[in-house]
Amino acid sequence: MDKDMHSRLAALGAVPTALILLAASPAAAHGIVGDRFFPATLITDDPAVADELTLPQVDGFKTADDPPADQVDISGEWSKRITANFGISFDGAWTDLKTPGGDVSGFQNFGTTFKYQAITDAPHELMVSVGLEAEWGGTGAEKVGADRTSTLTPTFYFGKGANDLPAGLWWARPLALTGVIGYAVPLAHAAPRSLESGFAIEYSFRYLSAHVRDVGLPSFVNQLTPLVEVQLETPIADRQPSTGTINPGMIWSGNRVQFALEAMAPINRASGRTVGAVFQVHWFLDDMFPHGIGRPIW
Amino acid sequence: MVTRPILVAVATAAALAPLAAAAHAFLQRAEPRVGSEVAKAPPAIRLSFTEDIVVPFSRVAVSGPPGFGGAGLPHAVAGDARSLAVDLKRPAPPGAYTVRWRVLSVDTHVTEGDFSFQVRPQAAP
Repeated sequence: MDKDMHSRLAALGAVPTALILLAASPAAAHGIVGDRFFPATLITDDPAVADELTLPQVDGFKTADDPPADQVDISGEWSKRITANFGISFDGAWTDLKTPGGDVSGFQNFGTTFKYQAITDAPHELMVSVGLEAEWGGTGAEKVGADRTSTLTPTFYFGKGANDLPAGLWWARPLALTGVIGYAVPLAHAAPRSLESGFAIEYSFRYLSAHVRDVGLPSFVNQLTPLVEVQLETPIADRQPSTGTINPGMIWSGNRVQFALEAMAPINRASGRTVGAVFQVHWFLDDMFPHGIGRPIW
Repeated sequence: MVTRPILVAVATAAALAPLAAAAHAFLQRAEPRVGSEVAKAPPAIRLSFTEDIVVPFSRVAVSGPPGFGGAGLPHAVAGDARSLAVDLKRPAPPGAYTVRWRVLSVDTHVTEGDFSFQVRPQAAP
């Protein structure tokens, strides 16, 4: 059999595969629903189940302690799809604290998140997921604040694009809102429970140029998503104030990796002393290894 | 003290970079431009993506105002593996046109999207 014939047969063999792929739902993984791409956010989790890797994420800020300590965290998270809509994430963080009394460092508790993407509504650019986040008590170092008690947090995630806005508001259609709300339950009777919530407002220049109006922006700008994230932790039982941060920043999304930088402004004195910063490199494993580790197991 | 873990994390991340394969194909540019208004209907619509695409397994549907003759099948653009084109059949009267695309990138990811453009009414002579 000559080389040409081999190529033709190989091409014919690829036809059924390609037809199946075209019949399948488009762009599983990533945070894609219809025309909308929800980039991975830094502080709050996005609603997508995906094969992705955050490595590294580095943040630095002054703690709310008196006197304050300089804290730097280096963290990572690996998210793996088990099926197309169900995935597990593993996360960890290393903390360095510079206090007036000296430096301490060590790992925070490790965590695992189980997430199920329940609704993927392309016409309305709506994505809804439910999950369970587990922090494994005692796996980190107490000297950097890691708790000895494990905590389970049932969590609700959502993402919604603004494509339903009327034509007169075309400029606002690239907006999207993602958010999370979870109820943190420590597995110790005396430990206080809390509400963990957050949201991100995003404006996608890629969406603007590819789906609404191409205003002639350079390619680099088209890959930018300015955003503001807000993260809150609200104690349930006692009258302690909520703590959290407001994080304005920017994400640059490439085809296989994204880079993001945000400021971290504490919402009150109990949340921190000064504005910090967080930087993230995020890898799309489904694009890097589409036939291997980047695809669902089943 | 904090420098070494950062260097380790960055080095691990950098080691991943050369492993990158192809990726999702997002729409990079369209001609006519997304959301634009043109004086007359072009002979063809050209779509350019962020990744190489498999044209035979990609689809483009074009809808237009009453009387529009329809669009042909997508075909490759010579020398550009990231683009495809569809010819517009005549008549292609003034009005709103919507382009719905669904493409297969070479790494087998499927993406889809849509956009509109307008053909201006011709001025009376």
